[in-house]
Amino acid sequence: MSDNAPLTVLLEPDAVAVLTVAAALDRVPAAMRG
Amino acid sequence: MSSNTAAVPAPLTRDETGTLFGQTMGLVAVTAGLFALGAYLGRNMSYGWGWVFWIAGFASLIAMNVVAQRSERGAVTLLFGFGVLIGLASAPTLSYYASTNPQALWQAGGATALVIGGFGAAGYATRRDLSGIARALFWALIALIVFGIVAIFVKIPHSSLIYAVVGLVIFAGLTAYDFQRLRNARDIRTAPLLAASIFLDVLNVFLLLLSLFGNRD
Repeated sequence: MSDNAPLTVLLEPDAVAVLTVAAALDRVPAAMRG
Repeated sequence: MSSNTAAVPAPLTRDETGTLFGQTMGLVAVTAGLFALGAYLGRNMSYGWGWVFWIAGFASLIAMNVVAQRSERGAVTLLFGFGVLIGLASAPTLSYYASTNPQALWQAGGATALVIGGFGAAGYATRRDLSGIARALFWALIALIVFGIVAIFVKIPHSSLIYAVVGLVIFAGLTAYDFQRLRNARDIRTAPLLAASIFLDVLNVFLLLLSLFGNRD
């Protein structure tokens, strides 16, 4: 990203977004079926 | 959450729906409080320790998904542990903003309450089925995660701004969908899983707003 913040600060939103995907994992098969 | 089990419980009465709403939002509130406690306890921690606690929080979330089918009490315990661990994981980032731009923390907190309150109420109230939109938003979220990682290594103009704005659109929709799931839930045992989803919506919106407000010149 474009600012001078430490890498961990820049990656924090991504890291928490990954948790959201993990929390929804048991719903993914239904999501793929459409 | 997992609706592919053999026996489908009877629909909840209006009182039971209210109980599920109260229980879920109570769990979200306690988890948020434990997150704040974790963030306070870890305020002087190094960035490396933040990643260690993130991995522990991830493991606790996966364990909660497994345990929730068997034990509500076990799922609630893991949810509370998850709140503390993610608070500890986020502590270095929150400390960074507190030292560089403390006003951004207050602004992001207030704006998060407005976003979650607004889109949560809309999702709870609407009669339109949001599951199709949620499916699209789920895949958009995966694309956004990839974009975020690429933007760390490749110089993309205004990537932080693009990430935050697109992320907020995605999580506004997912918040509305999670509150609709809360209204439509038939099983009181789903409360801890719904609470985890809503807590993560809140945390994502907060961090996206924090990057938006905190990186302004």
